[in-house]
Amino acid sequence: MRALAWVLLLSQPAHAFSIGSAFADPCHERITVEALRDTSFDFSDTDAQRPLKSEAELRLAGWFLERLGEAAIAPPPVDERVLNSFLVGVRRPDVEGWALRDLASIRSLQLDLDGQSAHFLRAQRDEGTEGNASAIAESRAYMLALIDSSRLSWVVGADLLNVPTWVEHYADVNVPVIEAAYLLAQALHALQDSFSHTYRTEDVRRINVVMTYLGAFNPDWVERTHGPQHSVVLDRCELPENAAAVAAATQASHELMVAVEQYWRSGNRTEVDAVLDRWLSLTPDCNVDNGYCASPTPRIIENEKARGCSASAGAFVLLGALLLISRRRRFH
Amino acid sequence: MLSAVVWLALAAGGPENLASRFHGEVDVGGSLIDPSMHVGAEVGFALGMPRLLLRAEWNPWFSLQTRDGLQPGVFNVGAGLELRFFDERLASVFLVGTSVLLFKSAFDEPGHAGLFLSIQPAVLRFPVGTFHLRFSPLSMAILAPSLEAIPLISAQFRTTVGFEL
Repeated sequence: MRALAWVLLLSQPAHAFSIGSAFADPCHERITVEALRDTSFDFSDTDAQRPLKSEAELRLAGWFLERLGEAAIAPPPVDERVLNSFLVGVRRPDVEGWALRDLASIRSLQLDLDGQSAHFLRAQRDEGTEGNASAIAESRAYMLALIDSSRLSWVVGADLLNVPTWVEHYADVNVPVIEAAYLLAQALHALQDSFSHTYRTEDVRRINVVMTYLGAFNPDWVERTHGPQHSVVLDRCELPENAAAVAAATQASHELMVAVEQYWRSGNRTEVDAVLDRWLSLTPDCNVDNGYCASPTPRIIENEKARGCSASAGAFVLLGALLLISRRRRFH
Repeated sequence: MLSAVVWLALAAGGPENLASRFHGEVDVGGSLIDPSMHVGAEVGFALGMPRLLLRAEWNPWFSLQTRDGLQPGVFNVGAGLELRFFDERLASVFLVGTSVLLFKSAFDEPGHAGLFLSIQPAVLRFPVGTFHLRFSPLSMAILAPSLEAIPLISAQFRTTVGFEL
């Protein structure tokens, strides 16, 4: 049982801001729903071409919202189908349609050599300080490809896409989603990960270095060459130390949503590019020698690790004391 | 079903004979695939080789996708047969009945009722004083409290221990 618990803990589906599970907070979902506030996603132009919303879609949207966490999150001003499209889409890069207990499939997704840009991480080829620029460029290209596809889908008023989705206790659920919103949500996932997979400046605006997930599985990993290793500490949106990154990820997501909605209607992508420039620009010449230009991010990781160690040490001391007491009682 | 059991019991003979033909059982167990636990009670009546069974059980489910933790799960009632072999040291049990949802799931409301199916191919019975300890290392249960457009079906592979009187 203990071994199983470790397997589950070490194999959390999310290796970015986490997605909701028994072991992690629904960070991507919360950020996306918060960012949807004050947006005006309106698919009424093309809704007439699609079937009416089903009772199941309404229920699923309610179920998603109820599970966003202890902090009550008001429903965003979008209808249930749009909400489902965004939430299924933003979870997609971390789990595809697999069950969270399908550890082998989820691990293969995490270790996909060509899939790191979906999580704003370095690919194997992104080495040295130049690797920061190439990793950012690859993730940016990935996001823009999704955004361009989303516009195409919006313009033609594409049919609903039935996306296989694992909904707890139900097998083979195909959730009907609006493709444009679903694709945009996957781009949002990468943008949000750019705040949990990078060391940033004090104001969280600029990127100082891009992290690696594959490095943890590379015996020849060298920080100077391959970048700092991914840290689960940065994935935890509930940590107060990550509040600035979460707020910035929410702001950036909101700005991208607004810009993409304009792009869909006008065909002019200038504002989308401006949003990505604003949040994904690289501070030059940051490296391990200068502490990545004195980024505060490593301190967050180290402090949280130290707290975890002291908590563990405290637990060991307590366990030792209990054992000692029980031995003494036995001997007297 | 209950009246049928009573009728058969009365037809079986006098009170002493009758008492020896009844057995009762309580058990507890769990499943790792579709994580859940179950607590059940069962009564049975010997009718020659087969025994008629009535069972009720509570089957809470664990959540992996959300932080709901232990959910109320389903309440199952069923009837079936038990066959005993090797001087009654080994039994096989088959049950069918109704499974009732006890919590609000993504698509279904509490109270939704569907199918309950349980197959225990090998239950080991160990005499312990006046009781029997029952151990079922692996059995299968299908709980389907909703069989509508999006069916809610849980396939559990269970391990169970119980006491039989």
